[in-house]
Amino acid sequence: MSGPRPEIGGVGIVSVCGRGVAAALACLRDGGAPPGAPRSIASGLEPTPPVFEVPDDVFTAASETLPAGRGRRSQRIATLAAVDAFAALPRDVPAERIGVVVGTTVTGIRAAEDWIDARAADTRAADTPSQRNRPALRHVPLQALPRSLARRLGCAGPAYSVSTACTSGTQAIATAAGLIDSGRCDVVLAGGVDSLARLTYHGFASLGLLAPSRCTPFARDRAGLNLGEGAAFVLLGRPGTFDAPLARLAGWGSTADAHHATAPRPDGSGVRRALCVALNRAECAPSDVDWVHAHGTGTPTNDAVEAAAICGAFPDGVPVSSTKHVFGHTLAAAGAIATVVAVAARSASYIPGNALIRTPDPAIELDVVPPEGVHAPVETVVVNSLGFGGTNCVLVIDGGSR
Amino acid sequence: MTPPVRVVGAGAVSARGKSLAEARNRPASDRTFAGPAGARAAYPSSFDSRRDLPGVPGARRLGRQTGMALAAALEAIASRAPLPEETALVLGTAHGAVAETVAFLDSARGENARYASPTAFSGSLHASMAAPIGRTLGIRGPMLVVSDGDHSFETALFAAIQMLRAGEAPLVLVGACDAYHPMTREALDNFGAISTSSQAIDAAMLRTERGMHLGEGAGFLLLAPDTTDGSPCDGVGVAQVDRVAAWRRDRARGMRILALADGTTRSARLHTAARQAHRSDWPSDAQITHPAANLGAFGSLSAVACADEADRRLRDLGPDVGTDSDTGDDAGDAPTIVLNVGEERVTSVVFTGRGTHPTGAPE
Repeated sequence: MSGPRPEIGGVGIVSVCGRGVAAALACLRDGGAPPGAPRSIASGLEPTPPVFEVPDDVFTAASETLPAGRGRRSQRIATLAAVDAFAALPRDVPAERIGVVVGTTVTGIRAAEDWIDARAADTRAADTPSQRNRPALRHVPLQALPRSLARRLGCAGPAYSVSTACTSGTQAIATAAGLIDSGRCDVVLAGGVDSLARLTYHGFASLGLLAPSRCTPFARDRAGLNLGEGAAFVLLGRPGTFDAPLARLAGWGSTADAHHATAPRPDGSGVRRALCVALNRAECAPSDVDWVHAHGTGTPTNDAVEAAAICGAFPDGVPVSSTKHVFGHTLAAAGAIATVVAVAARSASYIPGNALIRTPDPAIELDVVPPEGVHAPVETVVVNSLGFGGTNCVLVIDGGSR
Repeated sequence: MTPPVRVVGAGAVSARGKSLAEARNRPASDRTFAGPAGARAAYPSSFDSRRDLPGVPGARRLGRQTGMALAAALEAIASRAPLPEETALVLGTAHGAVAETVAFLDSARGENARYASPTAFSGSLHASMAAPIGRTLGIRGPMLVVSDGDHSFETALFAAIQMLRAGEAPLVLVGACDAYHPMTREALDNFGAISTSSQAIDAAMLRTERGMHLGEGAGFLLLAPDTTDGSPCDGVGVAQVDRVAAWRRDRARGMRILALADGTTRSARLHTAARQAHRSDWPSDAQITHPAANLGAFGSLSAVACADEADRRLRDLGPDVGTDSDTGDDAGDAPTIVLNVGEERVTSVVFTGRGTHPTGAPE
C-alpha cells in the first residue's frame, strides 16, 4: 500500500429489507421475509424461481425526487442509497475532488429490453413503441448511472462504472481507494447497484443456478441462489476527512482465476490469493479477523470453492456467514451491501448469522455463524466476493486502530 | 498530471487492419467504407475470431468483440510473453457485449424464456471480454473492467497507472474494445448522432455538423513501471491528464495532436472550444490529425489511436536510447497528445519518447 488507508464516513443501503442500515439490521436479526415471485419483471418460467425485490413503499415513502420510468429502476434504488451515504460529506471538499464509482452489471438494461422487444414486434411506422422508447435509451449505457448520480450530488470528479459481474461492488470500492491514493480525489462515493431484469433472471435460470426456494449457503442440500436487487454505497475519504468516521477500508485484494467463463477455479487458489493480498495490505493477521462476510451464494460450486479458500487463508478458523438468504444475490450490489453490513456489524457489535443449515456439508469445514447471529465486539471484518469470469475481490474493514 | 509510466508493447485491431502491423502496410488513402450503401455507412474491421486467432484454444467460440480484444492484447504482449502471472488486466468498453446481449434477449423472449441460451448469457456480461484474455495469457493478477462512455480507455488507463504505481502488479495490460452492431447504430441514430452522408469522413466533416460514421476496434498497451534508477529505458512514456498539459513552447516544437472528433455537432463545437481554450499551450507548428477519418467513431477509438501512436514511437526508438549518447534533445522527443473530446469533458493521453518524466512538464 502506497499511502494511508481511506476512511468510511457514510453508508447507505436499499434492499428487500427497505431503506437504511437499521432496516437491514432488523432483517438480519429476525431472518427477514422469504423470497417471492418477481413483481417488477415477467418471470416467464414455471415453476417460478423466487427473488428478493425492493418493496414499492421504499420509493413512495422517499422524500427525494426520483427518476421516473420503468427503465430507471436501478437509478431509483441507487439514488436513495447514494443520498444516504453522501449525507456524511464534509462541507469544505471541492466538487472536482469528489468522485463517483458505481459497480453495476445491468443498470439501464430494462430500457434496452423493452426497446429490443418493441423493435421485434413493430413495423417501420413513425409513431411506434420503439420510437416512443427512444428517450429511455439514454440510460442504457453503464456510465449513465454514475454520471447521473454525480450531477445530482454535485460531484465534478471522475464518475464511471465498474462492471466485473458479482465483484463489481467490492471492485468499485477498491478502485475508489485507488483514486484517493493517487491524489486524484479526496472523497469518493463508491458502491454497487443492480435491479431485477429479465436478462439476469433468465440468464441465471438458463445456467440452472436459481434455487426453487430460499437459498441455504454452505448446506449440503444447497440448491442454488435467489436473485435479489438493491444498492449500497460508502463514502470514502482520505484520513482526517470525517469528524467521526464509521470505519476504515484497511485493505483490499483483487485476483483473477483465468479458468472458466462462469465457474471459479476449483481449488479456490484465486480467492485465497485475494484474501492473502487483502490481509497483507491491511497488515492484519488471520487471527485478528472477527468475521468473514462470505460471498456464499448457495450454489454448489461457489460455496465449496469459497470454503476451501477461507480454510486455506484462516487455518485456525474464523466465524463465517453469508447473508444472501436475507438480501438475495444482488449481483453488482452484493459486495457493496456486504461492506455496508460489515460496517454496521462493527457499530452494532453483532455478527449476522448464516441461513439455517439442517444438513451440513462434510466437505465444507467452516465455523458457520448460527442463524440468530452472535452478539460480540467486531473490530475487523473481511468481505468476500467472487464473480463470473473468475474475478475475486476481498475487502478488509476495521476501525483504524492498527 | 499523473506521473508517466512506460509503454513496452502495443496492439490494435480496427478498420485499418487486424493488427498494427497490417495497418502499417495499408495506404493511408485506402479507407474501408462498408455497410449499407450510402447513408448510415460504417467502418467495420474484417476480423473473424475463428480465422484470425489461429492456435488460440476456444477461439471459434469467441464473439467478434472478445476476439478483437484478444487479438490486440496478444499483439501488445508479443515482445514480453509469457507474462508474469501477477500481471493485471484493465479493460474499458463503452457499450459492452452488445451482440451477445441482443442474442440472449432474443433467445429468451416470451414463451422461450425456459430455452434461453446460457452461452449467450455468460458472454453478455462486460467482464466476459476480460476473462478469455486472462485465461489465454495465463495472467491472474487484478482484473478490472470499466465503462465510461467515450472515455472508457482513458479511465482504464488511469486505473492501470495507479495499479502500477501502488505496486499491485509488475505489469498491466490495459485496453478497450467496442464492436460495431446495427443496434448500436440504430440507438445512436435515434438521437441524430449518425451521419446521413455517403461520403467518407474527412477533416472538413469532422468540424461540421454531419454526425458520425461508426467504426469498431480494440487497442491495448502493455505498461511497465517507469525507471527511476537511471537504467536504460526501453519504452515510451505515457500519462493521462484531465486537461491538456501546458507545455513549454520551446520544448513542444513539432508536437503532434491526435484529435478524436467524431463528426457530431457536439464534438465539432467542443473541439473548437478546446482548441481555443488551449491555444496558448500549443505551438503554431503542431501537427493535428484525425484518427476517426480512417477508423470511424466508436467508444474505444482512443485505445486504437493510443496503441498506434505507442507502436510508432516504439519502432522509432533507436539503439542509443537511455545511454550516455542520448541527450534527450531529439526533435523526435516532441510529445503527442491524444485529445478526446467527450460529451461532458475532455481527456488527453500524453506520449513522450523516453519513458521518463518530460522536462518542461506541465505547470
